[in-house]
Amino acid sequence: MSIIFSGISTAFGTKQVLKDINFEVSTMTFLLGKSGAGKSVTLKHIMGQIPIQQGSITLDGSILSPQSRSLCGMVFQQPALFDSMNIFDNIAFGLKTGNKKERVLELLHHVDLDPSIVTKMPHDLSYGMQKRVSIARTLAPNPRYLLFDEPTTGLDPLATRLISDLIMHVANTCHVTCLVVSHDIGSALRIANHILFLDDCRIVASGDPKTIQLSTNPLVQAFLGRHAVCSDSFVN
Amino acid sequence: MWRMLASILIDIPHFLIHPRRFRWRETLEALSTLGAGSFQVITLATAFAGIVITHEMAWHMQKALHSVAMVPGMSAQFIVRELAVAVPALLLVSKVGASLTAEIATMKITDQIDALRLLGINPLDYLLYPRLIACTVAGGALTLISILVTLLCSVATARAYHFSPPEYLALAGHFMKLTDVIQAVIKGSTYGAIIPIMSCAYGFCCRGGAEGVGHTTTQSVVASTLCVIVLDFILTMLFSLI
Repeated sequence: MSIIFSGISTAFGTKQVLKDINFEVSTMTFLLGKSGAGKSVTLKHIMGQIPIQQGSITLDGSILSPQSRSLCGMVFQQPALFDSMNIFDNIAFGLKTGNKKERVLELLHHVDLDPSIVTKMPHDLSYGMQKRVSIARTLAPNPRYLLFDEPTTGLDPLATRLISDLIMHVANTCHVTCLVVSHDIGSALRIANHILFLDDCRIVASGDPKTIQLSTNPLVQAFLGRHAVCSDSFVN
Repeated sequence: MWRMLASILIDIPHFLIHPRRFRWRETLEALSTLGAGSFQVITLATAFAGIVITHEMAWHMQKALHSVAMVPGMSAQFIVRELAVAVPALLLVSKVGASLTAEIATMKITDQIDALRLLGINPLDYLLYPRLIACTVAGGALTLISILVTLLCSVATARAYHFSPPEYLALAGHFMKLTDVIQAVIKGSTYGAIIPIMSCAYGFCCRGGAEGVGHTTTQSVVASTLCVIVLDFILTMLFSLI
Protein backbone atom coordinates (compact mmCIF):
# COMPACT_ATOMS: atom_id res chain seq x y z
CA MET A 1 0.00 0.00 0.00
CA SER A 2 1.93 3.03 -1.18
CA ILE A 3 2.09 5.95 -3.54
CA ILE A 4 5.27 6.08 -5.64
CA PHE A 5 6.48 9.14 -7.53
CA SER A 6 8.78 8.25 -10.43
CA GLY A 7 10.59 10.97 -12.38
CA ILE A 8 7.92 13.62 -11.91
CA SER A 9 8.80 16.93 -13.57
CA THR A 10 6.45 19.89 -13.79
CA ALA A 11 6.80 23.37 -15.23
CA PHE A 12 4.36 26.27 -15.39
CA GLY A 13 5.36 28.05 -18.57
CA THR A 14 9.08 28.66 -18.27
CA LYS A 15 9.11 28.19 -14.51
CA GLN A 16 10.27 24.74 -13.43
CA VAL A 17 8.42 23.65 -10.27
CA LEU A 18 9.38 19.99 -9.89
CA LYS A 19 12.35 18.26 -11.50
CA ASP A 20 12.76 14.48 -11.55
CA ILE A 21 11.03 13.83 -8.24
CA ASN A 22 11.25 10.23 -6.99
CA PHE A 23 9.92 9.06 -3.64
CA GLU A 24 7.60 6.59 -1.97
CA VAL A 25 4.95 7.57 0.55
CA SER A 26 5.18 5.46 3.69
CA THR A 27 2.73 5.33 6.62
CA MET A 28 3.36 8.90 7.78
CA THR A 29 5.35 10.96 5.32
CA PHE A 30 5.99 14.67 5.70
CA LEU A 31 6.97 16.81 2.73
CA LEU A 32 8.67 19.99 3.91
CA GLY A 33 10.06 22.97 2.08
CA LYS A 34 9.91 26.70 1.63
CA SER A 35 6.80 28.44 0.31
CA GLY A 36 6.56 28.04 -3.45
CA ALA A 37 8.86 25.00 -3.46
CA GLY A 38 6.20 22.87 -5.19
CA LYS A 39 4.88 20.93 -2.20
CA SER A 40 1.20 21.59 -2.90
CA VAL A 41 1.76 20.83 -6.61
CA THR A 42 2.84 17.35 -5.54
CA LEU A 43 -0.50 16.83 -3.77
CA LYS A 44 -2.43 18.32 -6.67
CA HIS A 45 -0.76 15.81 -9.02
CA ILE A 46 -2.09 12.97 -6.89
CA MET A 47 -5.60 14.44 -6.78
CA GLY A 48 -5.60 15.16 -10.51
CA GLN A 49 -6.01 18.91 -10.04
CA ILE A 50 -2.77 19.49 -12.02
CA PRO A 51 -2.03 17.05 -14.84
CA ILE A 52 1.26 15.12 -14.76
CA GLN A 53 3.58 16.46 -17.46
CA GLN A 54 6.46 14.02 -17.15
CA GLY A 55 7.00 10.85 -15.12
CA SER A 56 4.38 8.75 -13.38
CA ILE A 57 2.64 8.20 -10.07
CA THR A 58 1.65 4.69 -9.10
CA LEU A 59 -0.87 3.87 -6.43
CA ASP A 60 -0.85 0.33 -5.03
CA GLY A 61 1.29 -0.75 -7.97
CA SER A 62 -0.86 0.62 -10.77
CA ILE A 63 -0.70 3.94 -12.59
CA LEU A 64 -2.86 6.61 -10.97
CA SER A 65 -6.31 6.82 -12.58
CA PRO A 66 -9.61 8.56 -11.73
CA GLN A 67 -10.81 5.27 -10.19
CA SER A 68 -7.75 4.80 -8.01
CA ARG A 69 -7.91 8.45 -6.96
CA SER A 70 -11.11 7.61 -5.09
CA LEU A 71 -8.84 5.83 -2.60
CA CYS A 72 -7.37 9.22 -1.66
CA GLY A 73 -8.86 11.95 0.47
CA MET A 74 -7.48 15.43 0.85
CA VAL A 75 -7.65 17.81 3.80
CA PHE A 76 -7.17 21.39 2.68
CA GLN A 77 -5.27 24.16 4.38
CA GLN A 78 -8.62 25.83 5.09
CA PRO A 79 -11.42 23.67 6.53
CA ALA A 80 -13.42 24.16 3.27
CA LEU A 81 -16.67 23.10 4.93
CA PHE A 82 -19.85 23.74 2.95
CA ASP A 83 -21.32 26.90 4.53
CA SER A 84 -24.90 26.11 3.62
CA MET A 85 -24.92 22.71 5.35
CA ASN A 86 -24.86 21.74 9.00
CA ILE A 87 -22.08 19.55 10.37
CA PHE A 88 -24.03 16.31 9.86
CA ASP A 89 -24.70 17.08 6.19
CA ASN A 90 -21.10 18.17 5.66
CA ILE A 91 -19.74 14.87 6.94
CA ALA A 92 -22.46 12.72 5.34
CA PHE A 93 -22.12 14.49 1.98
CA GLY A 94 -19.54 12.06 0.63
CA LEU A 95 -21.41 8.97 1.86
CA LYS A 96 -23.32 7.13 -0.83
CA THR A 97 -24.76 4.17 1.07
CA GLY A 98 -25.09 2.67 4.55
CA ASN A 99 -26.24 4.05 7.85
CA LYS A 100 -25.20 7.67 7.55
CA LYS A 101 -26.04 8.62 11.13
CA GLU A 102 -23.99 5.80 12.61
CA ARG A 103 -21.04 6.58 10.34
CA VAL A 104 -21.12 10.32 11.10
CA LEU A 105 -21.12 9.65 14.85
CA GLU A 106 -18.25 7.18 14.44
CA LEU A 107 -16.24 9.76 12.49
CA LEU A 108 -16.93 12.47 15.05
CA HIS A 109 -15.61 10.08 17.69
CA HIS A 110 -12.46 9.51 15.60
CA VAL A 111 -11.74 13.24 15.47
CA ASP A 112 -12.65 13.70 19.12
CA LEU A 113 -15.70 15.90 18.63
CA ASP A 114 -18.93 15.84 20.62
CA PRO A 115 -21.92 14.34 18.72
CA SER A 116 -24.06 17.28 19.85
CA ILE A 117 -22.42 19.53 17.23
CA VAL A 118 -24.09 17.73 14.29
CA THR A 119 -26.90 20.25 14.08
CA LYS A 120 -24.58 23.27 14.22
CA MET A 121 -23.47 25.25 11.20
CA PRO A 122 -19.75 25.52 10.31
CA HIS A 123 -19.60 29.20 11.39
CA ASP A 124 -20.77 28.20 14.89
CA LEU A 125 -17.56 26.20 15.44
CA SER A 126 -14.05 27.33 16.26
CA TYR A 127 -11.39 27.08 13.55
CA GLY A 128 -9.80 24.05 15.21
CA MET A 129 -13.17 22.27 15.39
CA GLN A 130 -13.83 23.09 11.74
CA LYS A 131 -10.48 21.49 10.87
CA ARG A 132 -11.52 18.35 12.75
CA VAL A 133 -14.88 18.25 10.93
CA SER A 134 -12.97 18.66 7.68
CA ILE A 135 -10.84 15.62 8.54
CA ALA A 136 -14.00 13.66 9.47
CA ARG A 137 -15.60 14.57 6.14
CA THR A 138 -12.50 13.43 4.26
CA LEU A 139 -12.50 10.15 6.18
CA ALA A 140 -16.18 9.48 5.45
CA PRO A 141 -15.74 7.61 2.14
CA ASN A 142 -13.07 5.37 3.77
CA PRO A 143 -9.98 6.57 1.89
CA ARG A 144 -6.80 4.50 2.08
CA TYR A 145 -4.60 7.55 1.67
CA LEU A 146 -4.98 10.89 3.38
CA LEU A 147 -3.27 13.95 1.96
CA PHE A 148 -2.92 17.02 4.17
CA ASP A 149 -2.12 20.41 2.67
CA GLU A 150 -0.44 22.47 5.38
CA PRO A 151 -2.80 21.35 8.16
CA THR A 152 -1.20 23.43 10.91
CA THR A 153 -0.55 26.70 9.08
CA GLY A 154 -1.93 29.68 10.97
CA LEU A 155 -2.59 27.75 14.18
CA ASP A 156 -1.15 28.52 17.59
CA PRO A 157 1.38 26.03 19.03
CA LEU A 158 -1.25 24.29 21.16
CA ALA A 159 -3.69 23.86 18.27
CA THR A 160 -0.78 22.76 16.07
CA ARG A 161 0.07 20.03 18.52
CA LEU A 162 -3.59 18.98 18.78
CA ILE A 163 -3.95 18.73 15.01
CA SER A 164 -0.70 16.79 14.57
CA ASP A 165 -1.79 14.43 17.39
CA LEU A 166 -5.10 14.03 15.59
CA ILE A 167 -3.34 13.19 12.31
CA MET A 168 -1.35 10.50 14.08
CA HIS A 169 -4.46 9.21 15.86
CA VAL A 170 -6.44 9.06 12.60
CA ALA A 171 -3.59 7.28 10.81
CA ASN A 172 -3.42 4.64 13.55
CA THR A 173 -7.15 4.09 14.16
CA CYS A 174 -8.37 4.34 10.56
CA HIS A 175 -5.31 2.57 9.11
CA VAL A 176 -4.65 5.20 6.48
CA THR A 177 -1.36 6.20 4.90
CA CYS A 178 -0.74 9.93 5.30
CA LEU A 179 1.20 12.38 3.17
CA VAL A 180 1.47 15.72 4.95
CA VAL A 181 2.69 18.85 3.20
CA SER A 182 3.83 21.31 5.84
CA HIS A 183 6.28 23.94 7.06
CA ASP A 184 6.06 22.57 10.57
CA ILE A 185 9.33 20.77 11.33
CA GLY A 186 8.28 20.25 14.97
CA SER A 187 5.24 18.15 14.02
CA ALA A 188 7.26 16.33 11.38
CA LEU A 189 9.98 15.31 13.82
CA ARG A 190 7.37 14.22 16.34
CA ILE A 191 4.98 12.10 14.26
CA ALA A 192 6.53 11.36 10.86
CA ASN A 193 8.34 8.15 10.04
CA HIS A 194 9.65 9.60 6.80
CA ILE A 195 10.53 13.21 6.03
CA LEU A 196 11.33 14.73 2.63
CA PHE A 197 12.73 18.20 1.99
CA LEU A 198 11.89 19.88 -1.29
CA ASP A 199 14.04 22.76 -2.51
CA ASP A 200 14.94 24.18 -5.89
CA CYS A 201 12.52 21.75 -7.64
CA ARG A 202 14.26 18.67 -6.16
CA ILE A 203 14.24 16.52 -3.04
CA VAL A 204 17.34 17.62 -1.18
CA ALA A 205 17.01 15.49 1.94
CA SER A 206 15.03 12.43 2.87
CA GLY A 207 14.92 9.93 5.68
CA ASP A 208 13.53 9.22 9.13
CA PRO A 209 13.47 12.05 11.71
CA LYS A 210 16.84 11.08 13.21
CA THR A 211 18.53 11.04 9.79
CA ILE A 212 17.02 14.43 8.99
CA GLN A 213 18.32 15.88 12.25
CA LEU A 214 21.82 14.83 11.22
CA SER A 215 21.53 16.26 7.73
CA THR A 216 24.07 18.88 6.71
CA ASN A 217 21.87 20.39 4.01
CA PRO A 218 21.64 24.17 4.60
CA LEU A 219 17.84 24.25 4.12
CA VAL A 220 17.32 21.40 6.59
CA GLN A 221 19.67 23.09 9.03
CA ALA A 222 17.77 26.36 8.63
CA PHE A 223 14.47 24.58 9.33
CA LEU A 224 15.93 22.70 12.29
CA GLY A 225 17.67 25.80 13.62
CA ARG A 226 14.48 27.76 13.86
CA HIS A 227 12.79 24.94 15.74
CA ALA A 228 15.81 23.32 17.36
CA VAL A 229 14.74 23.60 20.98
CA CYS A 230 11.18 22.74 20.18
CA SER A 231 12.06 19.78 17.97
CA ASP A 232 14.65 18.41 20.38
CA SER A 233 12.16 18.45 23.18
CA PHE A 234 9.56 16.79 20.96
CA VAL A 235 11.96 14.04 19.92
CA ASN A 236 13.19 13.51 23.44
CA MET B 1 -13.76 32.83 -18.03
CA TRP B 2 -14.59 32.19 -21.69
CA ARG B 3 -13.08 28.69 -21.42
CA MET B 4 -15.24 27.99 -18.38
CA LEU B 5 -18.32 29.33 -20.16
CA ALA B 6 -17.55 27.14 -23.19
CA SER B 7 -17.09 24.04 -21.04
CA ILE B 8 -20.43 24.72 -19.31
CA LEU B 9 -22.22 25.14 -22.65
CA ILE B 10 -20.63 21.92 -23.94
CA ASP B 11 -21.61 20.03 -20.78
CA ILE B 12 -25.29 21.09 -20.82
CA PRO B 13 -26.35 18.62 -23.61
CA HIS B 14 -24.52 15.83 -21.71
CA PHE B 15 -26.47 16.74 -18.58
CA LEU B 16 -29.77 16.74 -20.48
CA ILE B 17 -29.28 13.19 -21.76
CA HIS B 18 -28.06 11.84 -18.41
CA PRO B 19 -30.96 12.13 -15.95
CA ARG B 20 -28.83 10.54 -13.21
CA ARG B 21 -26.99 13.83 -12.90
CA PHE B 22 -30.27 15.56 -11.99
CA ARG B 23 -30.54 16.50 -8.28
CA TRP B 24 -34.17 16.90 -7.21
CA ARG B 25 -33.55 18.14 -3.69
CA GLU B 26 -31.21 20.94 -4.66
CA THR B 27 -33.44 21.93 -7.59
CA LEU B 28 -36.52 22.30 -5.36
CA GLU B 29 -34.48 24.24 -2.81
CA ALA B 30 -33.21 26.55 -5.55
CA LEU B 31 -36.73 26.99 -6.93
CA SER B 32 -37.90 28.03 -3.50
CA THR B 33 -35.04 30.40 -2.66
CA LEU B 34 -34.32 31.89 -6.09
CA GLY B 35 -37.81 31.81 -7.61
CA ALA B 36 -40.21 32.31 -4.72
CA GLY B 37 -37.66 34.53 -2.96
CA SER B 38 -37.73 36.97 -5.88
CA PHE B 39 -41.54 37.07 -6.14
CA GLN B 40 -42.12 40.06 -3.83
CA VAL B 41 -39.53 42.40 -5.28
CA ILE B 42 -40.52 41.59 -8.87
CA THR B 43 -44.23 42.05 -8.14
CA LEU B 44 -43.60 45.41 -6.47
CA ALA B 45 -41.29 46.69 -9.20
CA THR B 46 -43.49 45.63 -12.12
CA ALA B 47 -46.62 47.01 -10.41
CA PHE B 48 -45.07 50.48 -10.28
CA ALA B 49 -43.69 50.07 -13.80
CA GLY B 50 -47.27 49.35 -14.99
CA ILE B 51 -48.60 52.49 -13.32
CA VAL B 52 -45.80 54.70 -14.67
CA ILE B 53 -46.01 53.40 -18.25
CA THR B 54 -49.79 53.86 -18.44
CA HIS B 55 -49.55 57.44 -17.14
CA GLU B 56 -46.67 58.24 -19.48
CA MET B 57 -48.47 56.86 -22.53
CA ALA B 58 -51.65 58.72 -21.70
CA TRP B 59 -49.75 62.00 -21.15
CA HIS B 60 -47.82 61.72 -24.42
CA MET B 61 -50.86 60.66 -26.45
CA GLN B 62 -52.85 63.52 -25.03
CA LYS B 63 -50.06 65.94 -25.95
CA ALA B 64 -49.34 64.58 -29.41
CA LEU B 65 -52.67 63.14 -30.60
CA HIS B 66 -55.13 64.99 -28.34
CA SER B 67 -56.70 61.59 -27.59
CA VAL B 68 -56.13 58.78 -25.09
CA ALA B 69 -58.18 56.22 -27.01
CA MET B 70 -55.12 54.09 -27.83
CA VAL B 71 -53.81 53.92 -24.26
CA PRO B 72 -55.21 50.46 -23.35
CA GLY B 73 -54.01 48.81 -26.54
CA MET B 74 -50.56 50.39 -26.62
CA SER B 75 -49.80 50.01 -22.93
CA ALA B 76 -51.04 46.40 -22.79
CA GLN B 77 -48.98 45.46 -25.82
CA PHE B 78 -45.87 47.17 -24.46
CA ILE B 79 -46.36 45.48 -21.10
CA VAL B 80 -46.77 41.98 -22.53
CA ARG B 81 -44.11 42.23 -25.21
CA GLU B 82 -41.39 44.06 -23.30
CA LEU B 83 -41.94 45.66 -19.91
CA ALA B 84 -43.17 42.63 -17.93
CA VAL B 85 -40.39 40.53 -19.46
CA ALA B 86 -37.34 42.78 -19.23
CA VAL B 87 -37.96 44.23 -15.75
CA PRO B 88 -38.16 40.83 -13.97
CA ALA B 89 -35.12 39.57 -15.94
CA LEU B 90 -33.00 42.57 -14.92
CA LEU B 91 -34.18 42.27 -11.33
CA LEU B 92 -33.28 38.57 -11.36
CA VAL B 93 -29.80 39.47 -12.61
CA SER B 94 -29.21 41.88 -9.74
CA LYS B 95 -30.79 39.71 -7.07
CA VAL B 96 -30.13 36.10 -8.06
CA GLY B 97 -27.10 36.61 -10.32
CA ALA B 98 -25.17 38.64 -7.77
CA SER B 99 -25.89 36.25 -4.91
CA LEU B 100 -25.04 33.18 -7.02
CA THR B 101 -21.74 34.62 -8.20
CA ALA B 102 -20.76 35.73 -4.70
CA GLU B 103 -21.65 32.31 -3.27
CA ILE B 104 -19.77 30.31 -5.89
CA ALA B 105 -16.80 32.69 -5.89
CA THR B 106 -16.52 32.35 -2.10
CA MET B 107 -16.74 28.57 -2.42
CA LYS B 108 -13.96 28.73 -5.01
CA ILE B 109 -11.53 30.78 -2.92
CA THR B 110 -12.19 28.70 0.22
CA ASP B 111 -11.47 25.39 -1.59
CA GLN B 112 -15.09 24.21 -1.21
CA ILE B 113 -15.36 23.52 -4.95
CA ASP B 114 -12.17 21.42 -4.85
CA ALA B 115 -13.60 19.62 -1.82
CA LEU B 116 -16.73 18.79 -3.84
CA ARG B 117 -14.62 17.37 -6.67
CA LEU B 118 -12.56 15.29 -4.26
CA LEU B 119 -15.74 13.86 -2.75
CA GLY B 120 -16.60 12.61 -6.23
CA ILE B 121 -19.27 15.23 -6.95
CA ASN B 122 -19.27 17.19 -10.18
CA PRO B 123 -19.52 20.87 -9.09
CA LEU B 124 -21.69 21.65 -12.11
CA ASP B 125 -24.20 18.96 -11.09
CA TYR B 126 -24.39 20.34 -7.58
CA LEU B 127 -24.03 24.09 -8.10
CA LEU B 128 -25.14 24.94 -11.62
CA TYR B 129 -27.80 22.59 -12.94
CA PRO B 130 -30.25 22.76 -10.01
CA ARG B 131 -30.11 26.57 -10.27
CA LEU B 132 -30.27 26.51 -14.05
CA ILE B 133 -33.49 24.49 -13.98
CA ALA B 134 -34.89 26.58 -11.12
CA CYS B 135 -34.10 29.90 -12.82
CA THR B 136 -35.47 28.71 -16.18
CA VAL B 137 -38.77 27.66 -14.59
CA ALA B 138 -38.86 30.70 -12.29
CA GLY B 139 -38.01 33.05 -15.17
CA GLY B 140 -41.05 31.88 -17.14
CA ALA B 141 -43.36 31.80 -14.11
CA LEU B 142 -42.28 35.22 -12.83
CA THR B 143 -42.80 36.68 -16.31
CA LEU B 144 -46.38 35.39 -16.32
CA ILE B 145 -46.98 36.81 -12.85
CA SER B 146 -45.41 40.12 -13.90
CA ILE B 147 -47.67 40.35 -16.94
CA LEU B 148 -50.69 39.79 -14.71
CA VAL B 149 -49.64 42.28 -12.03
CA THR B 150 -48.52 44.96 -14.48
CA LEU B 151 -51.71 44.66 -16.52
CA LEU B 152 -53.84 44.88 -13.38
CA CYS B 153 -52.01 48.05 -12.34
CA SER B 154 -52.37 49.42 -15.85
CA VAL B 155 -56.12 48.69 -15.78
CA ALA B 156 -56.41 50.46 -12.43
CA THR B 157 -54.41 53.46 -13.70
CA ALA B 158 -56.45 53.67 -16.92
CA ARG B 159 -59.56 54.36 -14.81
CA ALA B 160 -58.10 57.82 -14.28
CA TYR B 161 -58.53 58.30 -18.04
CA HIS B 162 -62.14 57.05 -17.98
CA PHE B 163 -61.50 53.48 -19.15
CA SER B 164 -63.52 50.89 -17.21
CA PRO B 165 -61.75 47.50 -16.76
CA PRO B 166 -63.97 45.67 -19.31
CA GLU B 167 -63.44 48.52 -21.75
CA TYR B 168 -59.66 48.45 -21.22
CA LEU B 169 -59.48 44.66 -21.71
CA ALA B 170 -61.67 44.78 -24.80
CA LEU B 171 -59.48 47.47 -26.39
CA ALA B 172 -56.29 45.69 -25.35
CA GLY B 173 -57.58 42.44 -26.82
CA HIS B 174 -57.48 44.02 -30.31
CA PHE B 175 -53.73 44.51 -29.99
CA MET B 176 -52.71 41.29 -28.20
CA LYS B 177 -52.67 37.61 -29.10
CA LEU B 178 -51.95 34.46 -27.12
CA THR B 179 -48.66 34.11 -29.01
CA ASP B 180 -47.49 37.38 -27.40
CA VAL B 181 -47.85 35.78 -23.97
CA ILE B 182 -46.18 32.55 -25.11
CA GLN B 183 -43.27 34.51 -26.58
CA ALA B 184 -42.99 36.50 -23.34
CA VAL B 185 -42.73 33.29 -21.30
CA ILE B 186 -40.09 31.90 -23.69
CA LYS B 187 -38.12 35.14 -23.34
CA GLY B 188 -38.44 35.07 -19.54
CA SER B 189 -37.23 31.47 -19.34
CA THR B 190 -34.29 32.21 -21.64
CA TYR B 191 -33.19 35.19 -19.57
CA GLY B 192 -33.66 33.10 -16.43
CA ALA B 193 -31.38 30.41 -17.87
CA ILE B 194 -28.60 32.78 -18.83
CA ILE B 195 -28.25 34.17 -15.28
CA PRO B 196 -26.93 31.02 -13.50
CA ILE B 197 -24.74 30.13 -16.49
CA MET B 198 -22.99 33.51 -16.39
CA SER B 199 -22.86 33.56 -12.59
CA CYS B 200 -21.30 30.10 -12.38
CA ALA B 201 -18.81 30.80 -15.18
CA TYR B 202 -17.60 33.91 -13.35
CA GLY B 203 -17.77 32.33 -9.89
CA PHE B 204 -15.71 29.29 -10.90
CA CYS B 205 -12.97 31.60 -12.23
CA CYS B 206 -12.73 33.78 -9.11
CA ARG B 207 -9.25 34.43 -7.71
CA GLY B 208 -7.97 36.31 -4.71
CA GLY B 209 -9.77 37.06 -1.48
CA ALA B 210 -12.73 39.27 -0.62
CA GLU B 211 -11.66 41.79 -3.26
CA GLY B 212 -11.69 39.03 -5.87
CA VAL B 213 -15.22 38.02 -4.88
CA GLY B 214 -16.43 41.63 -5.13
CA HIS B 215 -14.73 42.16 -8.48
CA THR B 216 -16.08 38.87 -9.89
CA THR B 217 -19.62 39.66 -8.70
CA THR B 218 -19.56 43.09 -10.35
CA GLN B 219 -18.23 41.64 -13.61
CA SER B 220 -20.84 38.88 -13.56
CA VAL B 221 -23.76 41.28 -12.98
CA VAL B 222 -22.58 43.61 -15.76
CA ALA B 223 -22.05 40.70 -18.20
CA SER B 224 -25.41 39.09 -17.35
CA THR B 225 -27.23 42.43 -17.78
CA LEU B 226 -25.62 42.91 -21.19
CA CYS B 227 -26.49 39.31 -22.13
CA VAL B 228 -30.15 39.88 -21.20
CA ILE B 229 -30.29 43.10 -23.25
CA VAL B 230 -28.59 41.55 -26.30
CA LEU B 231 -30.73 38.41 -26.06
CA ASP B 232 -33.82 40.62 -25.78
CA PHE B 233 -32.87 42.29 -29.05
CA ILE B 234 -32.19 38.94 -30.79
CA LEU B 235 -35.38 37.25 -29.55
CA THR B 236 -37.52 40.32 -30.33
CA MET B 237 -36.13 40.33 -33.88
CA LEU B 238 -36.68 36.58 -34.23
CA PHE B 239 -40.25 36.73 -32.93
CA SER B 240 -41.08 39.66 -35.18
CA LEU B 241 -40.36 37.37 -38.13
CA ILE B 242 -42.94 34.82 -36.99
